[in-house]
Amino acid sequence: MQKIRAGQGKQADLDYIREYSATIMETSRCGLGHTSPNPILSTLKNFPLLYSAMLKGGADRTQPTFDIQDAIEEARSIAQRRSYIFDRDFTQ
Amino acid sequence: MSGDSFTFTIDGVEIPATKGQTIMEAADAAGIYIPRLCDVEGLRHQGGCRVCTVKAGGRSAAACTQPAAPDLVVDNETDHLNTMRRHLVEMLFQEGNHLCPVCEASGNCELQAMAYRLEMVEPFRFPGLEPCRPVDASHPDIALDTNRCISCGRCIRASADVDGKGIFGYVGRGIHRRVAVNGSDLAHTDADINDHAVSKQVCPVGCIIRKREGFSIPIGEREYDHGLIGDEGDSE
Repeated sequence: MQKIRAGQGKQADLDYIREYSATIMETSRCGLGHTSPNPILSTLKNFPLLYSAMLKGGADRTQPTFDIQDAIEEARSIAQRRSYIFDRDFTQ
Repeated sequence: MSGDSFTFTIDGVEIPATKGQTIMEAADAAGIYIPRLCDVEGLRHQGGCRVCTVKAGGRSAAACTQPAAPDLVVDNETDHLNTMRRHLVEMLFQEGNHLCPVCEASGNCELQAMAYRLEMVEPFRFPGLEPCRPVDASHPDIALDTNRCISCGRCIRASADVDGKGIFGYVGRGIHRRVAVNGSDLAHTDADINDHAVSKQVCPVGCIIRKREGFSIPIGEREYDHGLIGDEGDSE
């Protein structure tokens, strides 16, 4: 949920939540466990637009949650120069 | 005796059972392995980990606590059940700090072995809870690293029922429930290295550590290094 609220979620995460919820509901011993995923499931069911607005896209086989700027930030600081490819305003 | 014995089927195999036996006891006696974490021979059943969930007559039930019944049809090794078991084991991994490469129990760990058996091969899609609990190394012979605890309750039952001491117990509720000792730390309990609760077969993970015994068997030659858990028995 934190991941989705931070805007880092993708569609597969929602499917995963549903899978886990089904497991919890089926394997629980008592009624609390049988019903515990219901709050999340009912929001998934009733507010699909809100969820889809929070998700990252990614139909072109890219990994939607991968942030290239974030990933090369450390290398930038070590090399003490900007990226030729990923920094558009690069000048030697 | 003859009036109390009957048969039921697990995955189509006919299994003899007697009245009062649970599904798992009957399966063990017949050499059929049902995955389990919180259940161990010699302790009473708890039905807490739910990894032994089977389909008994179409309904999900924990095999360690569900009594066998005449002509019951039990499904054990199905994709559906193993997927659910894998989810349960994944959730156990995410609730604790299970860093197999640095853990002394690697290779002897039932949780790790169960993950291999259930083909838990993907990285977790959600971040773990990463608890930070202090290690209790106060006792001269025993150390306690509850970061690795899966709350199976085996040490609790062993200490209370076999040793008659009650050193371990649950504290907290819900996600905060964990195993604690009956005292300010382990040194201030009557825990002893010869207790059944601290013997090797009780803790399924590397939570209860027997001091000065680490790596006496090298990694690679340990109990579950040779094959999947449950396959070391006669037949599958």
